[in-house]
Amino acid sequence: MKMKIVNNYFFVVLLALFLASCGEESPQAPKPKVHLKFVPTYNGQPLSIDSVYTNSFGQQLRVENIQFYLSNIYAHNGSDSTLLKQAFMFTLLQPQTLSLNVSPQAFSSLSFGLGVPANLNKNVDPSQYENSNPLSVQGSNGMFWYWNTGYIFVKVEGRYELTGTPNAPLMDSYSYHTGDDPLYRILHFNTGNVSLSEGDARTFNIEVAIDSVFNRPIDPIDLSIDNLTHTTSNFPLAERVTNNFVSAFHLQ
Amino acid sequence: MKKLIFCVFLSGILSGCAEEGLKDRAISFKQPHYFPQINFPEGNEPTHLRFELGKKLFYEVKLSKNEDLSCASCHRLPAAFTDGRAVSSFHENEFARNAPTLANLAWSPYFMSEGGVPTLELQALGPIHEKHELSLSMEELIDRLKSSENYSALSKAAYGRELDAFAITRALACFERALISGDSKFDRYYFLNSNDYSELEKQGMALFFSERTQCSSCHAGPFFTDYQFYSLGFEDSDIGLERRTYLASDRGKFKTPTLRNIELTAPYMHNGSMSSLEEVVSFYNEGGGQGATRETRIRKLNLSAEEERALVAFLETLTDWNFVQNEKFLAAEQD
Repeated sequence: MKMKIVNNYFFVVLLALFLASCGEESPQAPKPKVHLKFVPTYNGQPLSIDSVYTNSFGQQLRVENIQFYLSNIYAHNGSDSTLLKQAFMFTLLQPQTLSLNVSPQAFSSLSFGLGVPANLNKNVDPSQYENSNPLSVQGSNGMFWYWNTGYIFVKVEGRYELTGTPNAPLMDSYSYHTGDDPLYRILHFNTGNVSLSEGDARTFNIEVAIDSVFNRPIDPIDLSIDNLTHTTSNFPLAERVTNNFVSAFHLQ
Repeated sequence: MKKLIFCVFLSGILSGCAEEGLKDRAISFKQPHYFPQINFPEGNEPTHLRFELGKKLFYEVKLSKNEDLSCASCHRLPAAFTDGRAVSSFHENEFARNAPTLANLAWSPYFMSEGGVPTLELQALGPIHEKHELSLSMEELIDRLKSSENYSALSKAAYGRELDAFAITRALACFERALISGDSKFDRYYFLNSNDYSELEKQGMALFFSERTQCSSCHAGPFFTDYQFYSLGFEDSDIGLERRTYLASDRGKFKTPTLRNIELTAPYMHNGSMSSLEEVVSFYNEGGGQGATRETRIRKLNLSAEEERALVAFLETLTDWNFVQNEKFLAAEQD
């Protein structure tokens, strides 16, 4: 009799544990998501690596590589700011979407840094990160300077020719690698009041107008003079490219 | 049935032993008592297998794009881990420089001629990725090496993880920290009171440490460097520290190199433009170059020919023959 009571008691405890564990495994409602879709364009049209573009100096260019870091991606609601993503590295020759869980669900603006903030940039060993981290040796995919440690914030590379002659071969290379703490920039975008419920998703299209790098009206770049900077080799040009690149982002 | 269970149990034990075949142990690096203690970074204290993995990587040609170069291509033991060439780029490169010796890196507060790399572990990443040097991505390197049981087992035993960027950089740094050189004729005379210094060497030493030459004000301390940045007045295309600071006042400044084993590390200067110690001493005696940022202590010294010879004789006493003949630093037999 005594054994039977003990067995029954044991069974109840086991059942309770089973039910509790079932409760833990019950599916949760999906968190609201924000999709940031970055769309590279040139003169308002989708960017094509096969296309030859003409800048405001009549020089012809092709865009062969665009990489950049975004970091400290925040959603803002009044005075509250919530970090959505620490860092992400884009290779942007095609539209690319960054999907983020959002909590809290209400916000009125988004912001992100172009580049890597100082606390993650200098004197940081990228080999300490897991490979999946965009700041790791492999995740950075060539966006780290090893002679003077720090991340390359923006890379824009391609070919050009100066005569503007139709079908002229583009024999020369331009290469802009910007970085270093003074070139970190923070961009803000008003989204209007957004309120998302569980399971909701909202997509924001952000145009990255690459023509702004070359043709920004207040600071166009003459490829005959300014075709190379790895920041330290020509800091003023790196600063111009950075500011022009900042002006390329438009929330649509 | 019992026999079957016993056999399964036994095979489990045996396979476990096989996986744990590599046993690591802490080691210490032999160093002179007149050198300060090494501050090892947390997580990369020296062990036998970390040293062995680092050495294996140091001599591994798979680190290079075409599998024809290794760290040792530019850092050869008989030349005190330099390569005897003016500059050590295998491609045209505006920042190609003379290969530095790797002696006593354990005490260096930063690395590269501009001092832009804070740790030896981080420094190891540079030559691997640099397109003018080994020119290989870490991803490809790991793909190449992970097929080797030996690398994988060494990494697991030494660092408790699969071979990755972390283990590769730590192991290379561990090996390089072991490259300690402090057993020269100078050391035996100066620190250990030997009596085999010649009169010429004594004269050279007196000049070296004198106010008149001020050599030792930059080539200071047991490592013959103050790790600071100076211009000798060169006016070539290499802007030196300015590349990192953007300051025109830093143009042509480079980190003071150690003078240990200097006899073996010709040619000299950041661009390898001087082929002999005699030429270097003469350059200083004439007051250095004409560049605007030249260090003020570099000025005409009015040394006689005999005094120049004495300085060279002294510099040649900084050679540590035991260091450059230490077989522990040579590549092990290949697998």
